[in-house]
Amino acid sequence: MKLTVRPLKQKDAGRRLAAIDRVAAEELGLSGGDIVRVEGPDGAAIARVWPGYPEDDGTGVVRIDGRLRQEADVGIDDRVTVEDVDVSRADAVTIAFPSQLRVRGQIAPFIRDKLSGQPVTEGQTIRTSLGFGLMGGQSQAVPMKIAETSPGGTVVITDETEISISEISAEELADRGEAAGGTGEGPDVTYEDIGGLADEQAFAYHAPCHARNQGLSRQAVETFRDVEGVTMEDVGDSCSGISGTYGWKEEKYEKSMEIGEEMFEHMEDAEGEVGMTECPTCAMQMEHGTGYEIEHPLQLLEDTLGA
Amino acid sequence: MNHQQTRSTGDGALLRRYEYEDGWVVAADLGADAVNVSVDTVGETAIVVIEGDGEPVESEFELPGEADSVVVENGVITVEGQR
Repeated sequence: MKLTVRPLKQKDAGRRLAAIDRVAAEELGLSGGDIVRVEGPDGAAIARVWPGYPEDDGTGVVRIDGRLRQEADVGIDDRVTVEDVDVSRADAVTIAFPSQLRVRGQIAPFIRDKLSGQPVTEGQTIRTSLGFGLMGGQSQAVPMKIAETSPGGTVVITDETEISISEISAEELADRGEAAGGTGEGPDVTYEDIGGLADEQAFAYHAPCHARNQGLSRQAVETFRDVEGVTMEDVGDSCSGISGTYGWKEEKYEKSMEIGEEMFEHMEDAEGEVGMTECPTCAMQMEHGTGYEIEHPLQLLEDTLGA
Repeated sequence: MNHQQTRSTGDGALLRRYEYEDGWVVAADLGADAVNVSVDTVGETAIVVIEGDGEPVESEFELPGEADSVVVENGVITVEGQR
């Protein structure tokens, strides 16, 4: 069954969960915790089934986080197949690290502890935070490649799994073509590692008329819809009244503010107390009429990416 | 649920409540390595017991109503009920 990929809410990310629309999950005979293979044209990720979000009912949506999208090599709105997989317990797993990461000492028990419960397949690249000590205090996710598993197929790592570290680096493995799927590239950072606002913030958004008339009035709302900590409210189709330089003219000022009044009210009705628009002159008028600080969506994008 | 009390993968437990047109689901993720988890519901409370090496750890969470079904699979607890 083909499902459409959407992002998982950030707070649910990092757990290998796939939130599958309830209707689709029922058709597939899946329920919470079942292990599934989410397969795109060029890769696959293993996930555990999570209840579908209420807004996804009947939409054929599977929500997975950035990490799983990377593993399955798919993006938002791509189509994937989702199927139940049989998973056996891993007797032994060999892991390859990227060459730039020097690993010293007895790391295997630590890794087993970190990966316990995780389903893996040979050739797959997995990312896990190794926490303090190893990465000089950083807790960034480290990409590791599953070099070999016993038995083969998809296996789940348990407390009894024997973990060994491959002497060959992840890149070499990928070069040798031994790895089907996965990339073997250096550390990639997914959106969930860095995205979102630490403090929740709500915005009163005005879609400028030149965007609206091109049918482009929703990007800011859609861009931030799934971003953790951001609430974006469209204040509707009222006009700021500035119309380029019209509102700057002394004799037009009052008329311009009169036109904008409806929009200032809509902004004040909105939950957010920071304005947002793409249009620089609208922003001036919005600021003037409400006293709010006005931001451009790109500023917010920069903030949420922690750039 | 107290995060410290669960033997999860280290990121704490995830607890979510979803309301649909015809029912509700309360789902918890204890991490895929959580084994020997049992869940009982009493009225509008779900009681989770995790048996580990030492003393069993118990915690509970509230439900929006009486549960119709409780499933525990690979660390995911799914409790369903009707509206």
